[in-house]
Amino acid sequence: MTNLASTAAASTNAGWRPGRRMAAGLRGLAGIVVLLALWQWSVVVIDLPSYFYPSPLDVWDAFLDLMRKHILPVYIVDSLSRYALGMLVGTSLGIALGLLIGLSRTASEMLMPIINFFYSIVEAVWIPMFVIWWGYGLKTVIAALVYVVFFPVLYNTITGVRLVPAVLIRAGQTLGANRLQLIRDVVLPAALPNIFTGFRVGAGFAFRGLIFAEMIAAQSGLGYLIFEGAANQQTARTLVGMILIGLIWLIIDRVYLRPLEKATVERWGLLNDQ
Amino acid sequence: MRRVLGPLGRPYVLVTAAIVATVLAYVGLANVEGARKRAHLDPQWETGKVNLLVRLNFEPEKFHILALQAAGRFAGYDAKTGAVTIYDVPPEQLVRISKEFWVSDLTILEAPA
Repeated sequence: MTNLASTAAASTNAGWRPGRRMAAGLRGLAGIVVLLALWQWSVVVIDLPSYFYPSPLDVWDAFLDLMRKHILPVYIVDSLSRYALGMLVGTSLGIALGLLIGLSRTASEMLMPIINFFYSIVEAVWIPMFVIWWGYGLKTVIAALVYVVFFPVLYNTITGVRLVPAVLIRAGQTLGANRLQLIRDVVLPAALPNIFTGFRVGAGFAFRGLIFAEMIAAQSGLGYLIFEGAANQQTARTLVGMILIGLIWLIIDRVYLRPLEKATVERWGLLNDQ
Repeated sequence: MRRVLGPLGRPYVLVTAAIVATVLAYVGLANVEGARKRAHLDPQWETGKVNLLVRLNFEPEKFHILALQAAGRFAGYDAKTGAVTIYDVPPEQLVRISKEFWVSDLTILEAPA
């Protein structure tokens, strides 16, 4: 417990030195190397066919083969493009409708029962319908992603708008702000930490949704690679897809989402008040 | 590094710059490759549909066959020569195929009798 507390304290310490960070990185790398060594050793001990239980070297060979045939770069770009487009559309819709519902009692009373109903229907159930409407391809995958991203952004936007202190609204009105200026300069910035929370939750859901949608409704992408690999007993390819999904998510989360969240909370959130 | 570059040294800036640079390099190299593969072709391909022999350095997979099918009528793969035959390839599709790194060589075929 004490160790955990001291580790957490060290990680949040602003004066954390680069040397210590490098040491932590090296320890993380050592963990990965040990895991790979154990995996390779278990393959030798268990001695199963490689299509059933591939070794790290098989996975590495599959990765090189996919790169040589230029399949992997195209699949990664396809997946990331779909992800970005789905996030953009889903977030925009979620924020727009969240603002409307958060600001208008009538809209809230009209739309919330319908939204709550659709929220309970997970995107996996919708995919067969999307396939009937738009066939196998981009539209179906994007529709599934938008559906996944939309709800967390919407609910958090509504919460954020409803939590804006009335005193801020009144201050804006006293200063002569019209409705549009109030939304742009008061409501939206005040709701931003909540909106970002929804965005981050949606980003995680969307990544899982993307892979699932690609497994069912696409002819390319990392989800398709995983599904096709398993279907054709190219298990090493399936593992390449799985590992890449993990790595790409780590990069998205560490490089983009966390700094964006930190900046948002520092600028408009509660961090300065603590 | 971060001290020298200032805000430009932030990880998201560096990673985004690296991604953009990679994409630009990929597109640039693909254009150079495409021009190289088209250089020796009879210029007739620029004016209308042609029949094409596409050589690969490996046996094509579904991914490659789908990409080639989108270019014209897929006529078959010859395992001995490692070549795929496609009929009625329009100029813009020939340009697209030529830019693919997995295509090693293109030859225009005489029209079938």
